[in-house]
Amino acid sequence: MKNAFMGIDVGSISTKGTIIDENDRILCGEYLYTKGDPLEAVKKLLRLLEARFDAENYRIVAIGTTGSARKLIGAVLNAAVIKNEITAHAVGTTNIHPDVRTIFEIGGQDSKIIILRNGVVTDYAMNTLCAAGTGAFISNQAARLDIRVEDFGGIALRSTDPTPIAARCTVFAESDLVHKLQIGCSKEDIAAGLCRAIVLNYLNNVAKGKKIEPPVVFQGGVSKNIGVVKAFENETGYPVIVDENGHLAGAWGAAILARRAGIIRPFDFRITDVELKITGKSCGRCANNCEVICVYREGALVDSWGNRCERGSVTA
Amino acid sequence: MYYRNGVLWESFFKALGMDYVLSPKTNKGILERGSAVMADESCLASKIFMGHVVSLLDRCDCLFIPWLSNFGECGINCTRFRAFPAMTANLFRDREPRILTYAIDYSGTQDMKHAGDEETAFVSMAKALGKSKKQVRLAYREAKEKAERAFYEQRERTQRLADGDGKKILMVGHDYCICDDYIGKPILEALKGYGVTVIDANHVDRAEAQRDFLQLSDGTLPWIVSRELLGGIVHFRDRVDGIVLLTGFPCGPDSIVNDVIRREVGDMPILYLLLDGQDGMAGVETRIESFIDILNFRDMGERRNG
Repeated sequence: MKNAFMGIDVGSISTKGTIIDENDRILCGEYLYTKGDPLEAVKKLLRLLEARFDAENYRIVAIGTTGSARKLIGAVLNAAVIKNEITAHAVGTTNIHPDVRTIFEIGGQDSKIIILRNGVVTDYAMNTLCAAGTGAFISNQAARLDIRVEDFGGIALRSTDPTPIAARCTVFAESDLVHKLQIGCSKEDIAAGLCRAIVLNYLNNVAKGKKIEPPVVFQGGVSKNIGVVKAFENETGYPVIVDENGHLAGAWGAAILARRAGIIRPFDFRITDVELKITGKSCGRCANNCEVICVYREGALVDSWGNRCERGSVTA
Repeated sequence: MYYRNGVLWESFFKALGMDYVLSPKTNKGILERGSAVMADESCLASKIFMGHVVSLLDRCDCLFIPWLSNFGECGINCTRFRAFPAMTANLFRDREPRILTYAIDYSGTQDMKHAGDEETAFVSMAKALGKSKKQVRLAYREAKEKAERAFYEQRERTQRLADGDGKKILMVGHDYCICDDYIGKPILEALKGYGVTVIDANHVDRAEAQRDFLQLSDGTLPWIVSRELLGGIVHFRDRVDGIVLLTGFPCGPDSIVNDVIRREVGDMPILYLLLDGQDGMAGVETRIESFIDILNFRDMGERRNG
């Protein structure tokens, strides 16, 4: 029986999972949409992973979680490591590309740039708390253009004359877009314009002041959009690497961090049959009215957080 | 501005033997009440300010809202500070609040009644306070001395922290953001939770900062506090591992100054936190946690490569 480690990356849009062996090689990986229900998404993900997992030769001894729901899922799965997605991505990516110097990452509601030198992270930046120019933005605009998100990049590539669009703010972009549609710009040109706007917004805001050097790796859900990839290559002048497993980099990194942590917490896939519940309640004990999050397993409290002071603490 | 002038103001009223009440620490309720009365486009800090006004309306005879506008060669304050006394009187005109104010305004226009130095500005409140000019002058001098001493001691404490061991980050932001219990404090606590020492860039000798800021910007930068913060960066940057920029959305001065900082401060990790009263701390936690990771990664890299 050999040891295996699982990494789970629960983002706003998608949920990713990988299982690796002791040499950090991926044994299996899965990807699905979060659809606003991280708990259900993780249960589904676990069932998918279980189906592909070689339980006769391996056993999972530790879990790492990352992504915006990392704390929640970490509490539910009794994770050995709960780590932010920047660190997880950096660890996962250097494992695939040891010589990477720049990582672009655009996810559902975050976008970030990570700068590495000699395999070590030296700088990074993240979008401010506003989600402009991220996956959520593309999904919105795709819906308005009546294009499937999956087709968006391909349609953009057919454009010969990208329409200039203001992408600083989703709301402004939308009114700009409506106007451009009304004056007869084609869907192709608008899609290409949006891709370019996203890239310019990223380079002028998130990546401002950062020295972009090749090799450049592009990750996150938006990296699946070939239109954005091409726009990045045009604007930076460097080839932009998009990995087949790029979407799994965060989960991979989380699994590696779980392995490195050296904490053994065996995991059983039967958790998918266990009743799990999450509640977010306003505390109401003072004017701060904190939102206190409680996680229950089979009716028993597992963990709680969110309170700014003792008054809001919840105990079993 | 209370965090900048609190000792002066409180000592002043104490010296005159007058009762005063302070508004409570900022909480969500204060922000909500402030947001309800202020124009939606106003910044987070001014919404909080108005929330504090609301909390005081029924608790005092008179609201003390200094008019801190133009500090001459040292620079100016953001327009909101110029507007607060009049804005408060206007927003709550049904309640007819009495407002006590003094004006710092060196703009030199003739119709400024109280243009001049701080002492003259304080003395001009004598009639409103029902005290003699002499009483007010003495109270001001006593309070000013206390305030200067308190600020000196605060600087000495920060200086010792900066000279100490361990991981240190420089906190750059208006003290009404950094010191605020609802917006700044949770961030300070989170940083301390990771074992880093937080150095407040406001804690510098102000005259020195007025010279030092020119290393990062040219002399046209108008805002007094922004100049001092840049001076604080110059003063502390060799002794810290990273910088956190804390801004309440939307802040005009910060939008320019933060950009200057990111361009002019060379090879140092900078975390830019833009807050708009979000309830969830998750986004902020992610950013702080990853920022600390980067600081640690850099250390490891230096050891490995050095």
